[in-house]
Amino acid sequence: MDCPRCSEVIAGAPVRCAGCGFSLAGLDKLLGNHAVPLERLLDTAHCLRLKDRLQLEAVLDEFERRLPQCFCTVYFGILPQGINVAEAGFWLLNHGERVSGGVVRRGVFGIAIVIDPAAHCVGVSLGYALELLLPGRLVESLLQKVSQALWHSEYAEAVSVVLRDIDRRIRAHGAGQRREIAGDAPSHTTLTGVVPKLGHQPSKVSAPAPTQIRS
Amino acid sequence: MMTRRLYFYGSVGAGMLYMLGFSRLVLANDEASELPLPQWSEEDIKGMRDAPAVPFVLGGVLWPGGMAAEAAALPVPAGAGAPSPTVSAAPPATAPLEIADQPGTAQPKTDLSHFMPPELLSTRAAPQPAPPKSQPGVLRAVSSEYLAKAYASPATEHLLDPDGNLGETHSEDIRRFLEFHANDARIDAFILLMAGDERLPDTANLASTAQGELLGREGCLVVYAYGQPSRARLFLSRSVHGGVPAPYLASLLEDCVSDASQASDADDQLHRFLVRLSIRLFWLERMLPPLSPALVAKVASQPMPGTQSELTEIGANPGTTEADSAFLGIQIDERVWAYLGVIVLVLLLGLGGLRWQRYRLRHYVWLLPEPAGLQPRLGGQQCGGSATWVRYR
Repeated sequence: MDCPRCSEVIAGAPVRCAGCGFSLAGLDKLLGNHAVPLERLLDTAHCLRLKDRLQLEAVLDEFERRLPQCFCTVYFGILPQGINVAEAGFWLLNHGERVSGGVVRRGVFGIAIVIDPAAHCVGVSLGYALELLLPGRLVESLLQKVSQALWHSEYAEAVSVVLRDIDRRIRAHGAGQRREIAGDAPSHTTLTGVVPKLGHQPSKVSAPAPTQIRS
Repeated sequence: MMTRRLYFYGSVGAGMLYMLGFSRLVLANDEASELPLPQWSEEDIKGMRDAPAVPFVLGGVLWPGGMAAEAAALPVPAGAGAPSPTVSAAPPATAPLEIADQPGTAQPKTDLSHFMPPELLSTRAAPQPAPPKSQPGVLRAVSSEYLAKAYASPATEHLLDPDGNLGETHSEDIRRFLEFHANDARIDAFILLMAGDERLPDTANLASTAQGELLGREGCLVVYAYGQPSRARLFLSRSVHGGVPAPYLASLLEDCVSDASQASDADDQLHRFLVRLSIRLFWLERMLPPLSPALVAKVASQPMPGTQSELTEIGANPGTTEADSAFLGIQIDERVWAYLGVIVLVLLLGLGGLRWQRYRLRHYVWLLPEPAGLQPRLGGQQCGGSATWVRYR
C-alpha cells in the first residue's frame, strides 16, 4: 500500500506515513473533521452535461444493484492547493456517509473516484473491503485506458468504463461461488429486496471473494 | 477612286444581266425536254366503255382491288373432309368491287396449304402425348425411349441428345466441336444430354451407349443435365481410368464444372464445359502410356461387357446415386454442410452464453465478505489510503 501523498510504501498499520508524516488527522486540519453526506455524483466543477449525468446515474444504479454492499461516489471538483486526488478520496471515504434507502453504507465497501479537471488528475480510492480485490496495478492500468477520454473531456464515458470494469473484476472474484437462496434461510431484507443465504464459501483465491446470490 | 467605283458597279451589273439570260435559257430547255403524258388509244377507251364493271385486278391476294368475297374464303384441305380444289380459285372477273372494300368484309388470308405436299394434308398429325409434368425441385428419371435412343445412337455421333434439348444451331455447333476434338485427340468425348430436371435411372446401362462403342476405345462419356453443370457426371473407359490417378480425374471434372458455372446461360455453360473438357482431355493424354499397336490390339480385344461397371464414374461416391428428391441447383458438398453445422453450433452456443450472461447480470447479486482482522492505517477507519491516481495530460 502506498501513501496517498508521497507514494511511500506503507507496511503494517502505521498511524502516519513514515516518509512524509501524512495521516488522516493531518488532513482533517485542512478539510475538517466532520461527516459529509456523500452523493453518487458531486459535480462542483460543472463537468457533466445532463446527458452525461443521466448516463452515469444509470451505470451507478446497475453497479449498486449488483453489489448491494458497495457504493461509489464520483467527485468532479477543483481541489485546494496542496491536496491531491488521492488525499481527497481518502478523506471522502473516511468522513463521507452514503445514505440510500434509509441505510447508511459504510466506506469500507466504498469507491471514491475524484477528478480534478484543472490539474488533469484522476484518482480511485478504495475502502478496506475492496483493496484486496482491486490491486493498485490493475486500477492504474484501468485509469491509463481512460486517460484519453478524460483528456477529451468525455468524463461520463470514462467513468462508465471504469465502473463497469471494476464491477466485472469484483464479479470475477465471485465466479463459481454461487449460493442459492434456501427457503428456510433466515430472512434478511436487503436494499434490493433480495433475501440471501448468509455465509460464504471459503475463498479459493488469495483475496476474499464475493459470493453471487441468485435473486 | 472614282474609276474603282465605276468598275465595281459595272461588274455587278454585268453579272446580273448574265444570270437573267442564263435562267431564261434553262427554262426554255426544260419545256423542251418534258415527257409526254400517256395517251389512251381508241381501242382502250372503247374496251373500258363496254365493260365498266370489270375491276382492276391487282393480282394475288393484294387488297383492296378486285378481291371478291367468294375469293376471300379459305380453301379447305382435301383431307379435312370438305371437297376443295387443289388450287385456289382465281377471283371472278365479275366480282363486285365494293364488297371487298367494305370494312366488315373478312380479309383474305394466305393459305400455306397450297405449298404443302398433298400427302401431308391428307393425314392428320397424331396427337403428341403431353410430357410428364415435373414437380419443382424433384428429379424425374428419363424415359425408356430416351435410353433406347441413346443406346441405338451411332458411334460416330458424339452428341447424344435424344430429347432434342438443344436448339438446331447450337446442337450443330456442339456436334462439330466434338468431331473436331475426336479428329485430333486420343480420347473421344461423348456427351449424353438430358433435361435439367431429369436424371438417369439406376438401371441405366451406360456401357451400351452408342451401341457399346465406348468400351472398345479410349473415351469418356459425360452425362450432362442441361442447365445444371454441377450435376454433370463423367465416365471414363477403364483403359483411361486405370492409367491416371483418381485425384487428377476428380480435379478434371471439378475444373469443367467450375468453368461452366461462370456462365449463366445454359448454352454457354455447356459450351464452356465442353471446351474445358477438351483441353483437359488433351492434358490427360500425356499421362497415359504411349499408344502402341499392341495396346490398340489389347483394348480392341477386350470382351464387350454388358455392365455399367466397365465405365468408371469420376468423383462419385460408391453406393450413392442421384436421389429423386435432390434439389435442383442446391447440391452442396458434405464438407460445406459440416462447416455450416459447426458454425451454426458455435453461434448458438455463443448466443446461449450471451443470454445466460445477461440473465446472470439481471438476476444475481454479489455479496462481499466482511474484511476480517482490520487494522486501520494512517488513522482511517474506512479507508487506509489505498488509492491510485494518474495524470491524464
